[in-house]
Amino acid sequence: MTLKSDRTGRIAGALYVVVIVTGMFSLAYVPGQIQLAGERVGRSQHHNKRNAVSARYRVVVCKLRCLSIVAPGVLPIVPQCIIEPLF
Amino acid sequence: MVAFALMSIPISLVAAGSELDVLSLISGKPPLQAVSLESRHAMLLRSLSSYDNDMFVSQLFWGLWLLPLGLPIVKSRAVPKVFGVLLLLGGVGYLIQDFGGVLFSGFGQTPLSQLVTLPAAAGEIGLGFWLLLRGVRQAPFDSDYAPMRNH
Repeated sequence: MTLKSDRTGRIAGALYVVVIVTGMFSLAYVPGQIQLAGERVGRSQHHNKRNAVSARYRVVVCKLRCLSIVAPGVLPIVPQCIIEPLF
Repeated sequence: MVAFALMSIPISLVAAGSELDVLSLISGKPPLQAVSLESRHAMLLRSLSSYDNDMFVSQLFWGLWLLPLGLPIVKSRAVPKVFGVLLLLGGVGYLIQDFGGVLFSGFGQTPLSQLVTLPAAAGEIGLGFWLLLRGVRQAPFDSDYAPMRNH
């Protein structure tokens, strides 16, 4: 095992952790925070709530874009650092 | 493995389109001002439902790509085998959750539905942090694979 492959493994791990953290945030935390007006929000708070939902959704979209960009980079690297020494 | 993973990406992007629809609906810009608030709420729920359905389809590939990732990890000594076992169980778990949700009404609310993806979460989180913090081991494969390295 070379230092290069060890470094590749750590880079793969770092990218994997980024995907995991952003995935947990966008797929688990944010959907649980979204409430529609009228569920537990009074009419006077409707406008603020609408802005809050908007802000959260903008974050989700950004995270999905991040996930889509990072995932193709991570996926080939993770098995590579494990299989590479065979060849 | 990469093919399975890549297939989930355009589906996720379509789901992002549903999220952009939600943004448009809650913005209340001119074309939508003619639509009643109740109708906009119904359209918003429809967009959220579309997002859920797209992610549900994408989840099928999240499970499928874990299987060819877990198998070489089980055979490898580069990282602990337990991660490979967890990833294999998690891959099967995702498939159970996906097909169970389609075939059985209310499956998503059962404890089994929540439990089956736990191995995937443990395996992916564990593998990610292991690679980041510990890297890969010096002796990457079992002795059975040693002759292959000499060729």
